[in-house]
Amino acid sequence: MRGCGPTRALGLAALLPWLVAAAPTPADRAIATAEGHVNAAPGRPAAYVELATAFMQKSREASDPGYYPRAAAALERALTLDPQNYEALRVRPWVLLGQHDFRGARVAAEQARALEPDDWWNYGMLADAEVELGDYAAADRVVQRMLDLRPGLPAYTRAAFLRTLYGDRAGAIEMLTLALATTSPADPETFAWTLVHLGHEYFARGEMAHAADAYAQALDALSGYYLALAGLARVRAAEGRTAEAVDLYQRAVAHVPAPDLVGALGDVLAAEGAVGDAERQYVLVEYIGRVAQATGTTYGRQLALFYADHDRRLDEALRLAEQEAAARDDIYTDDTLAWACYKNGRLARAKRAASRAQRLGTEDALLDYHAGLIAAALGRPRAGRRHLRRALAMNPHFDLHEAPRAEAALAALEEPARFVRAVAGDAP
Amino acid sequence: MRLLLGLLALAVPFAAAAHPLGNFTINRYAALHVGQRALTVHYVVDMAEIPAFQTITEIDKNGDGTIDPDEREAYLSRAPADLARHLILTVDGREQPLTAGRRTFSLPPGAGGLPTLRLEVTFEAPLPTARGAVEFRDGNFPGRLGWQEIIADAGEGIALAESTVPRTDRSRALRDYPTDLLASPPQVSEARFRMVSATSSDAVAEAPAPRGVLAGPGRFSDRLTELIATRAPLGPGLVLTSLLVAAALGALHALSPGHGKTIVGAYLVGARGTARHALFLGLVVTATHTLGVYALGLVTLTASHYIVPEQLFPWLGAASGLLVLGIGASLATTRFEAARGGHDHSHEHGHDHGHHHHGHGHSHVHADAGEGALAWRRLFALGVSGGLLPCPSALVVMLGAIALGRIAFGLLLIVAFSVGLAAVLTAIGLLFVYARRWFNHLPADGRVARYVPVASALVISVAGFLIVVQALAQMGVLHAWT
Repeated sequence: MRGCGPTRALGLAALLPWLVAAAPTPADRAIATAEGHVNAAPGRPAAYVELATAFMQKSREASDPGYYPRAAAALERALTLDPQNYEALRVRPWVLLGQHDFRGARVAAEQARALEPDDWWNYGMLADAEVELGDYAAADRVVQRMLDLRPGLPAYTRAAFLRTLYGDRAGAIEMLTLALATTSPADPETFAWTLVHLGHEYFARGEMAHAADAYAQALDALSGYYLALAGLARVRAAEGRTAEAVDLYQRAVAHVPAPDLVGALGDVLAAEGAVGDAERQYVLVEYIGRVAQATGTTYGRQLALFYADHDRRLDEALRLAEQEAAARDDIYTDDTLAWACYKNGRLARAKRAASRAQRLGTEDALLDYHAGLIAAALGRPRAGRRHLRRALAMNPHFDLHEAPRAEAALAALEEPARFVRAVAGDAP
Repeated sequence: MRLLLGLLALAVPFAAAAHPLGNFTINRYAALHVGQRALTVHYVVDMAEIPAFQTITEIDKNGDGTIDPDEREAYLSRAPADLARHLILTVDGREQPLTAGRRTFSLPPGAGGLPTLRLEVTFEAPLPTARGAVEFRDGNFPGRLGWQEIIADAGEGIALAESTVPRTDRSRALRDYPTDLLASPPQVSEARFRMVSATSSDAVAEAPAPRGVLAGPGRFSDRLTELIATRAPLGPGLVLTSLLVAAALGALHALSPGHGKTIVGAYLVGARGTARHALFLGLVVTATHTLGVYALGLVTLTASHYIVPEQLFPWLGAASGLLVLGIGASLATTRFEAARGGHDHSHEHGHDHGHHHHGHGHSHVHADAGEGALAWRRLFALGVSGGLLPCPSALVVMLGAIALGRIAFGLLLIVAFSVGLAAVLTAIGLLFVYARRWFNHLPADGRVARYVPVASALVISVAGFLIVVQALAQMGVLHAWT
């Protein structure tokens, strides 16, 4: 390298782009900073809380549950040093929510709130726990308190979710738009996450162009964001652009092979006629299920729905649905339980769970589809028709695999009805 | 207490699991070894249960659920080439082909006895001479989560200088991941070092122990320290180019968002500043920034055991923001009064708001009456606030220079950096000055022209406020959505 001034100068000039593009992500930087603090002062609980927070940030940013135990371990260290450390107590429900210990999270959040009743954060944690545990009235109160304390994105997104649950999707879209207006450009992950949820709202209403728009914006903000890729893939599949859908799902799955996404990829391949390729994806989902069983990951609901939808391992679907129902009590867990019971021929229990799933009046095609088939199987064709018509009216493409089944079931239910009307002489 | 136990219980199953980052990770490892004739790369891929299953299904061509000797051979003959395609090794900028040698493949049982997949390949690249700059980049499984580790060492008679990676690994070649949950997994996908003779004075055992800002995971800081990391004698050409590059970096830094451009511009428009004002401002920024970096560098060196510099930046940001906010607020009040006072003064006799002034005359009266004496002092304070927040990269250069014993050169580079920074701010200031002259020649309505300075003072206040808010957010006083 001696005596080669010009070469080195060129090398130096090449440094310029490095200044413009910062390499590590915000969470990576947060982890590095926190580790520095821990090393500098291993006896300070605050440094471990900071590390736990950074690990949580990383786990969300990378969609990697592998960081939850790290966060838990860091918090544990902080609480060993100082069992009354408020900062640690306040972060604890977040970690417990990540690990799907919803009851533990509720207790922990209540405890933190008792210490600092004016800290908006505690109400967010409490709201998340109450929603999962199905106490929607409590969640409502908590989110209202949060909105009063700090009207910002954390409160708006939670309010949006509650509005969706109560059947007000227009209100949810309004809230999410409000939330988007308050995001910081320094936090593209939050921006993209909010956009993905906006996309989901539009999709549920059957507004495909708006949904695609929201997902595409999310991808602009955070390129390769797997949730946005999967959202866009679902839109493309609904529009019949299956080749694009396959490509998008494959990119999403290459990043995070979540069972619902792998299953959806299989569904698109099946719709394309690539039965062998589809089957390979389905087998992979089953395998993910076996790994989950061995390691205890948090995919119970997705796996139960997949098994029930595809009529595979139905006993396992019921076992998982029951296991989920023991851990939480929200309407989507009820719906999963209803569907798994229906597929296993337990119709009475399926009906109870399905009506619990609709107790808030949520406008979700999947809930009505499940309720419709359960009603039909119980010999109540009128109720069955009503649910199925509602499901298909909300979004005729609500699910690539299930929507054609809903149409077929509705057609079958309408046949005898037409016959009766024809006999009565009032057929159109 | 029960909850604490709950947390412990949740952490336990993890400790038993094989992979530090969950069961869909693909973990990558490369151990580079420099010998007299060749550079070898011992490359290991360790797939957790789910990707292992996906790969096994691909290997099992006939789909009978087992891997026959034929299928195993086929995989072992094609996999190394697939991996090599995304491994880039350059020596002195020239790409060296990697030839796959020994390879092994196994399926160690993982969680619940389900197989994981371990593939090891030894690649080799011939070396005409064991000297030169080496760069190695692993582009396999991009975006895929996992442990990513690279190490490098050298054989007898050879040493590695300025290596960006350690000599020893943390995971025993992905066989034994550390169970310390508080250590975050490495995410290293590239390595750089120079091969030198072990007896040469060039042989710097390892890169200076990183600390504080230098420890940032960014290759960014490594790159910047290259500015002063060279151990070769400094020729005049090299010094000159380095200074130019440093100045260019400073200029670029001034252009990055939120760097006082708005403040400078708004001030000079409002204060009816002249080119002289703009130059003075540039001078103050240079001096403050240079001194600021020196001071922060010294503070960092002495205090690096107690505080991480990243923590210092928000405080400096807040201080600088408050300064700007104060200037803006005081300007706004004086200017507002001057604007009103000017009006009253010229229309003592009536309440007619329809009359208007000539822009020129009024603005002179206004500037003299309102700000004259204070103008230079305010300008100085503004310059200080512009230079007070040191650019982290400048600090890195400074600390790197100290670490490498090239202190004088490092200090010089900081000056160059600051000059570049100030040049851009001054240029922007001049731009505003000349733009305003043009604006003054417009037949503007007197009232509007009078309140332009007030509005620009408000812009300064808002900018100051935003700087404070940003700094507080960084400190975590204001929380973002989590």
